[in-house]
Amino acid sequence: MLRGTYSDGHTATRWDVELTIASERGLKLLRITAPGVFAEWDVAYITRISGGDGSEFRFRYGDGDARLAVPSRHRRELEALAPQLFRIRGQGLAIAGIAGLVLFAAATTGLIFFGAPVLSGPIARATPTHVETALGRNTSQILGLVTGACEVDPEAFRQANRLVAELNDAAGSPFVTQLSFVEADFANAFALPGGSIMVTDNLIDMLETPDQLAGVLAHETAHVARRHVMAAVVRELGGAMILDLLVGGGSGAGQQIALSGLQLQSLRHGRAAEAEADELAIGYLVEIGADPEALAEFFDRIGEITNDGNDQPGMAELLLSHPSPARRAREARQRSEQARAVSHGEIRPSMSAEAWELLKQGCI
Amino acid sequence: MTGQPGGGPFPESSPNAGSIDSVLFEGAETTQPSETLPAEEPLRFAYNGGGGDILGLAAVNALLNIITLTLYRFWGRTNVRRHILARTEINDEPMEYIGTGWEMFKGFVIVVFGILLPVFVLLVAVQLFAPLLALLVILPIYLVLFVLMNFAVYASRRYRLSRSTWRSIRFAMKGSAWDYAWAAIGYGLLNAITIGWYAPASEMRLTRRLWSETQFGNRTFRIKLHDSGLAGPAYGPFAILWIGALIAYIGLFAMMALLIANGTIDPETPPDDLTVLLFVYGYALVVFIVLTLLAVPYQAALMRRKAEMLGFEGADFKLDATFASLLWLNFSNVLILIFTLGFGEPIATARTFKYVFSRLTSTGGVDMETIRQTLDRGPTTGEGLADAFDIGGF
Repeated sequence: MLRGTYSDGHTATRWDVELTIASERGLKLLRITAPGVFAEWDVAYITRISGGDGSEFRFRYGDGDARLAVPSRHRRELEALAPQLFRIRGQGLAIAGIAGLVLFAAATTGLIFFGAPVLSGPIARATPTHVETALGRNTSQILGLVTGACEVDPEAFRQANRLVAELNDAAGSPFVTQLSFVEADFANAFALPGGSIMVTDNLIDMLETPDQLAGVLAHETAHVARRHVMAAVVRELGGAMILDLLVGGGSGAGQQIALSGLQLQSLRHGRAAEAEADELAIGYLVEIGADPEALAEFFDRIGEITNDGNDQPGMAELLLSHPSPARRAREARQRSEQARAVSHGEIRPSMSAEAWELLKQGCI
Repeated sequence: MTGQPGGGPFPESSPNAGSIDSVLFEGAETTQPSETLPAEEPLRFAYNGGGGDILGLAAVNALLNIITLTLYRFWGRTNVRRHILARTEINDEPMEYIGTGWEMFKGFVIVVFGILLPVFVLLVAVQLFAPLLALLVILPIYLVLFVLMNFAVYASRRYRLSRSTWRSIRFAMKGSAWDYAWAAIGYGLLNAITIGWYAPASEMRLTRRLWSETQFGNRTFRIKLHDSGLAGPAYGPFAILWIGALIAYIGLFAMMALLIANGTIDPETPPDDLTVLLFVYGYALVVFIVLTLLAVPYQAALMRRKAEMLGFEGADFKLDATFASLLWLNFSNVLILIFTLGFGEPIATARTFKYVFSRLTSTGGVDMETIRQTLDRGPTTGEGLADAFDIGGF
């Protein structure tokens, strides 16, 4: 006699029951009986919940609450009576479900890694300029909290601004670019959304000639004109939002892997924008009559300072926000030679020697 | 009575399906449980497994989580719960987890589109276009999120319990998640005001609130302890931990002050002397180890007190949580998490279950026949908020 234990889904009682198979009206029924207990389960709707790993087999009927347990030693008898109870079901569905999740993940990855970068440029260019200008104003307010104001000599400032205005015209920028100097512990220049360019006093200190300053400003003007910053905002917010929402809380190792993928991706596009700005800067410099070679000199200077003169692309560059200085210098030199070969304009100083001297004195 | 067990999707062509119900109810008066079981059953607990048997499941989950951008986590977590509850035995009968990954996934989708996305868009818009006003908007949002986080603790427990069964009977929670959230925030404020001294009481009170609203079938758990002295036995170990932490911090500041005074450290520049760094980090490590050790007796006292607080029908509980055993559990679980980069979390969870269920004992007994199924099937979707806030609860 086949025996098992049964709970009916109504009380927490457990019955020791006898199990038999009956056929009625073409249905195969599992009969569960004990004194005071009688249940008939159509075998077609019985699902095996667990068992097969040495523990008892547990079954449910439909999605009801009742449970039937049969000791694993009775497997052969039960299988002889109702072999369908031991067929593995639902595996196809599980595989299809996982395949669906993988496809969705691949599509999302595609959107973040390829779609967002492709779309971010057009979206940035379609953003009304006044929106970007407002965004830039807010960004500079925030930057104002971490940097100090730096007033330079008025004549030097006037000449630097004229330089920016000329570059702006050369770039055909949709913004009126505004230059400001700030006091900070690091040498850098940034383009903010909406056309602000900030140059730190430490960078002025590092530059050797006014043409190098023109090179830096041309590079930042290219970022402004091509709306790179806005594109980066669109790209990173889009990617970060999708990933953040998808991976939830985010403290697990899997989540961290997904999020650092995004980080690497943002650096890669950052470098692409830098390379484009380097390339455009040469054209602007030639157009305003400045010496494009100075940009290459400036990269040499960065290379010396960061001690990164070697030109080995690979992991190191993969983790950097800019291409390596040596590569930038080499490419800038090539381009400036090509540009000079076809241009017949005269080269004139970007700034008067006096103004440059005054600017080099830094903040007053 | 139609032939539909549990209201499932079954065709009318199976007329015999579910005829059990009518038979059972008609004969309910005369129905007797098996003679081998006395009317009032004492309760025995066991965990029929270890950490190792879940290794394969943990590995599969880790792999599928990676290739699905972690979206598999809902199904993975469900499988872990199924595995663990199937090995958690009461009177030699396993519990059963009946939740599905799909309902957790639905909960996640609802929370993403109903809460996270709107909040995200609002936060981004404010920061981009009015950063100086941002605080006015961000602060209330964070307060709301904090309330929701506590709400999620309760809601996720309610979901898990409603999907946990034993002998075909579901667990349930009948209280309000909002009430719990506000209570948790109130206790949090009291903790802050009392520089932590209210923590044992608040922990016990929140646990008591959770269990006093917990049902197995139609019966609610009994709370045997009331306000006065609720956290009493936990206060001794807590005081040692609190004073230990205070001494450690005073020691740290004293050491830094000493190093600055004799010129070893210049507060203006980051220290570049390796020995100073090693000394500072070494001290931090020692403090960490000592405080972790001191936290174990407190944790053990809380666990014992929580078991002592509870009763169910005629049964009382006792948990044999000791310093040495709990220390080993914590230490080995941390090592497992570190060496598996977090992917071994299911192993740690299974080991914790094993710890509790092999040390939990009961006196008295429960008349199982009187326990009826609860009509409450619980929420239809699960844990979206808890997932978003990364609230544990395995």
